[in-house]
Amino acid sequence: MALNQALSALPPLDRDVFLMREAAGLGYAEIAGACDLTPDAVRSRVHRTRLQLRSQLAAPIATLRTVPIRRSGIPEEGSHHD
Amino acid sequence: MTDSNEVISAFLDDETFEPEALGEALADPAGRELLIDLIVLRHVVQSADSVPARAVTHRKWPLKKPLRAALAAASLILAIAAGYVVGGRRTGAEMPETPMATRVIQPTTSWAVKPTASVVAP
Repeated sequence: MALNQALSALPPLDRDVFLMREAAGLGYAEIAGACDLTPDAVRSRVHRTRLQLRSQLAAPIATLRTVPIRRSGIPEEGSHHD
Repeated sequence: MTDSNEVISAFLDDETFEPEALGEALADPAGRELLIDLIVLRHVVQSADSVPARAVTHRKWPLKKPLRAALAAASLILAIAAGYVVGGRRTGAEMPETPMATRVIQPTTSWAVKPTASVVAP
């Protein structure tokens, strides 16, 4: 729920760019083509959105820092967080 | 103004980055903390059941459609060729013999060649 609230508070374009990158796994060039942006603009937006979500989700992030995870972020089967 | 830590996001996303810039960013403890937090954040996003992530994955399908069409066509051609091979092997010796007659019909009329009609000159 905290994630959804944080995502809802984002500007629509930032949210779409972030989800295209983090959830769909698209590259900067693909996102740029889909959103009519330059790859550098995508890079800046993704980073800025990450910083914003990092501050809003500080508590769950701090909790998960003690849990083994993959660099790709793909969760182990059977583990879900909301 | 570009955030000096943007290189950490680019590194995390497997995008082009400057190694020197990444080294400088990670030399700072805050940069290392940011790297870890961004990995955890990605885990949070991908673990969430309610994130409509797959809604944008359809953008990838246009790239895969030609491959799927090619595989479908290849499968069809293979199936047709296999049918020809299997059908060819079933002809000849493997065909069942004609069954013996179980009933013989004797004709009741004696067939004979009748002379054809002709015109006789006077």
